[in-house]
Amino acid sequence: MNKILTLQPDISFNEDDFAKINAEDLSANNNSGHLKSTKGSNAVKLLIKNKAAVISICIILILALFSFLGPLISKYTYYEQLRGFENLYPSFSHPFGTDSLGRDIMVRAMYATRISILIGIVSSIIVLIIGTIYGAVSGYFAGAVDNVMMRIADLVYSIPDVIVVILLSIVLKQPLYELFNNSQSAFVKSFALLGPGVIAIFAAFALLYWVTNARIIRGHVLVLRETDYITAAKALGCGRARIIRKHIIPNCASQMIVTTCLMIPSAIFLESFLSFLGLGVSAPMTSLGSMINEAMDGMYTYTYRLVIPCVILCVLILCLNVLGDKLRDAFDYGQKAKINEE
Amino acid sequence: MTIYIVKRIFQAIIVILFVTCITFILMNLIPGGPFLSEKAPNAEVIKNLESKYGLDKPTVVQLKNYLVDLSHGDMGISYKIQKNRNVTDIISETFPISLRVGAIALLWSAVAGIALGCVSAYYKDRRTDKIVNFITSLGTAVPSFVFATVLLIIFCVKIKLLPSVGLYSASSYILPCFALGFFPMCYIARLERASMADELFKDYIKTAKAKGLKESRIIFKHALKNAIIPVLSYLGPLAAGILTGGIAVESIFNIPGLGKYFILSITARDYPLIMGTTIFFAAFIVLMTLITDIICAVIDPRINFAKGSKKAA
Repeated sequence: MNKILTLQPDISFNEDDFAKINAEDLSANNNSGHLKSTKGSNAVKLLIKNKAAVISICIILILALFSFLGPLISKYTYYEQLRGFENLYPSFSHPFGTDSLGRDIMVRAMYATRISILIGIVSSIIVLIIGTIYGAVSGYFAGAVDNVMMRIADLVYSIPDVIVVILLSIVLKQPLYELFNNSQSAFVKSFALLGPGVIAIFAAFALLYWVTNARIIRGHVLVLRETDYITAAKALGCGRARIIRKHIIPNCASQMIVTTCLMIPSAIFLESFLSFLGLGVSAPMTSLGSMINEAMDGMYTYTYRLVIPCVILCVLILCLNVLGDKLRDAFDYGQKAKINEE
Repeated sequence: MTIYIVKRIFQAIIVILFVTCITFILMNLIPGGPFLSEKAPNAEVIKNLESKYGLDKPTVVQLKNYLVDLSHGDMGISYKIQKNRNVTDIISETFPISLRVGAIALLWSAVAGIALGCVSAYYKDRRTDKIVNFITSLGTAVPSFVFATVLLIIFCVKIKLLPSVGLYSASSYILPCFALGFFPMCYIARLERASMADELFKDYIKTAKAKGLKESRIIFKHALKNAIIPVLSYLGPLAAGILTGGIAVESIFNIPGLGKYFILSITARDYPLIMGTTIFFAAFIVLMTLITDIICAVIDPRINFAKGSKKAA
């Protein structure tokens, strides 16, 4: 009886200990969340103070509204050919005029901007996921694993990207067309609208462009893995996967945000380049690059057709570049300020 | 350092081999042969054609044959664009044109970019810096093909000052080279500004100033030596960028360079030519990166060779 009594508190103590561990684990999580949120809010504060950053955010929002809400309001569609209304100069009913097939250029510009934005975001998310996982694993395991993984990354980095993308878009064209035509699922069909060139771009980003991101994340993880809270997590018996998932990746958030932001304009750049060469988005869907390509034919007489997509493309890339740069500065500065406070 | 250089050369060879194999396999994966067209020839003709070009053998054997031929500098013959002509001949004829335009673009963009970057760093946060910064951030947002078309409209259509097609006189080099070099120029200027501004704050510059050296001597003799290294290491990617940007610019200005043939071969599905140009482009880019890395290693003794890679992060 006595024995049991003395055992009883022992057991309950163990349970307490468990609870404590859980609480500690939770608080570690909260702590990292807290750390991130202060860093993030510092950066946001700095960002809002910056005039250039605010202006570019506004312009990006306006372009996004223009491209996503515009087609809902407009009475034309991007593929409808208005007979008898070909080659119109800008007027009240067609603010940007019409092209040689009688399609309203304003609606086409809206769709083109939408495609560019979407491709930019999707590609950079692909890069983000692959790069982060690769970089985190490589940095966390370090040693031989890291060495091999980084040599592979070096190899991939030196493969000429644009050439491979062009090659991929040629090669994927035929098989993807067959896939689109034979498939019944709506999901696959929705890709058919974009065409094989876009899929090639995604594939190229997944295959080649993650390296920069992976290197940045790896560099950060190499520092993080020596910190006390990772040692604590290890001591508490966290598995490697859990440490990477719950402790390391959330603390790379600022790096992830910045690299993603800087990746979007380069994806848009690449897409417009390919579409300009006629390898990107397939007709009748349009993108800024293919609009420029179409406008090249009549550029002596219908210069406005060339100017409109060019201006939208450049403004979009410019704003994204500025935003990415300022975001990086803000996070860098925020981190420095925090270190100074400590 | 010798170990580092040997390692880098070895890596470059692996990349070129890898790209060659990937290109070959990808080209072979495309359904439909090069001889299928609207008016399909009969089966026997196709068979004869395939055996003539060695397309009836298994892919692995074809790859081996291609690699063996490639090591002799033979890339097969063009099927469509310039029928029965050696791909190597086409490349050796058209590449010098691309190279000339590209080299001029690279040269002016590097010189102007470094100069602008120095000026901008020297006048940091003053009006000159702001103007330069505005131009360069605008420039890094304009793709070279957009800039080329804009130039074409302004100088050939509106004020009819410069020729718009081909390369017949010295003046016809101006627009393509300018268009091709503008984006890299802006990028280099930004790189140079950042590294120069860092450099100008360092102690050795203070020492130089304290010694009473002239400003120009401090900047060009002392600071530039260190500040130019990021730009130098960017030269490899820059060459790649100019080469690929050249593809679009050449088709805009109708220059018969390799880039134009690359696009032509893609639209005509001339597989040996696509393969030849891809491998050639890739090898050229890898070579340029290799040269840049070696130059950087020779110039900058701070690079850590033990790790084998030039950047830790």
